[in-house]
Amino acid sequence: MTYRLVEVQKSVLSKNAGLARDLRQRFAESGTFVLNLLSSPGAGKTTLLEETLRRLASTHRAAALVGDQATDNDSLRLARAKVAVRQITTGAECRLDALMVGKALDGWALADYDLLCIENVGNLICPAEYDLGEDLRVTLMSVTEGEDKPLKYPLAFNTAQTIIITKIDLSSATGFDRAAARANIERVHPGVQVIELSARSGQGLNEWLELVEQRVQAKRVAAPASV
Amino acid sequence: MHEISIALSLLEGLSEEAERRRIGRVSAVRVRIGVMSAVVKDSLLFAWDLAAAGTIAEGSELKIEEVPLALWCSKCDCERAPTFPTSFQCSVCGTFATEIRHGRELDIVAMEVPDDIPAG
Repeated sequence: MTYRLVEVQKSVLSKNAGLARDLRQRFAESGTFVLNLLSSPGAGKTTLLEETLRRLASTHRAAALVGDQATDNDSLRLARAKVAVRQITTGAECRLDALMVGKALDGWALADYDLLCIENVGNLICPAEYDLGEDLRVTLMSVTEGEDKPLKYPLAFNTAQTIIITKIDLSSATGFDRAAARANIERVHPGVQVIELSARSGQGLNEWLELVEQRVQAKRVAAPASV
Repeated sequence: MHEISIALSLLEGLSEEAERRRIGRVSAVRVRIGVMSAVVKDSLLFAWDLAAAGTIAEGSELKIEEVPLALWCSKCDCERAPTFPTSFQCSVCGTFATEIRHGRELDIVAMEVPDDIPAG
C-alpha cells in the first residue's frame, strides 16, 4: 500500500502544557503560591502536609488538593487541619494533570487562598512529566526507601526545586546512609536544595516552613493588587 | 502505567491535525519518544491498539523512534552522551551535567496517510 507522509511535529503533552500555563497565570493573578508534592507511596507526603497545614493554618489562607487513585483517606486526614481540602480521585490514572487540577478548583475563589498544596498520586514516574502550574515542585524520599531512589527515578529529582528527605528520625534504625543519598541527589540535580526532616519529631520542619512562608509572601507581593 | 492516557493524548493530537487537514484515515503514526520520558514502549504499543479502535487510526501501526539522552556538559561546552542511558554524567569528562537537551521527547512526528488510488 502506498501512502503519503504528513508531517505533524507536535508534543503529546502540549495540551497539558497549555493548561498548566493557564493555571500558572491564574495563580499569578490571585497571588496563590502553589506546591506540588511528589513521592513514592508511603514516603510521607500526607504527614508532611498535615503538619505544614496545621502550623500554617492560623497565619495563612491555605487549601489542599489531594490526588489518590481510589480512596479519600488522605483528604480526610488533611481536613483535620481545618483547611479547605478537595479530593481528586484519579481512578486508573497514576498522576495528576493540569486538567484535573483545573476542574478540582471549580468554584473556589483563588484570591481567597495564598497557599495551595497539591499532593500528587504516590508515584515517582508519571507525575514528573506533568506540569500542574505549580511554583515549587518538591520531591520527597524517605530514609526507609534506600539511598539510590534519585538514580532510579532521575526525572522526579531533576525536575524538583526542593528535595526533602523524610522520616529522618528513623535514619539510624534503618541504617540510612545520608552522605550516599545526598551524593545521589547531587548526581541527578547538582546544587538542588535538600531538607532533611521528620514531621513526627519536628526536626527540619522549621527550615521547610520558613521556605514555604517566604515563598508565599513573595508571591503575594508580586500579585497584582486585588480590586 | 499511564500509557493508555498517553495513547489517548496522542490520538487526540493526531485527530486534531487530521481534521484540520481533512484526512479521514491514517495507516501509521510516527512518534519520537525520549528515554527519559516515563513511557514504556511495549505498553504504549499495546495501549495504542486499544485507543485507536473505532477512530481514524484504527489498525494503524505506531512507529516509535526512541531518542537517547543527550546532556549539555558545561565543562566540555558541548552536547554529550551520558555514561549510561539514564545517567546525568558526561561520558567524556565525567562531569555531572543535568541540562537535558534530548531524551524527554513525547512527540508526534508524522502520519502516514494511505493513497486512495493504488499506485500503478
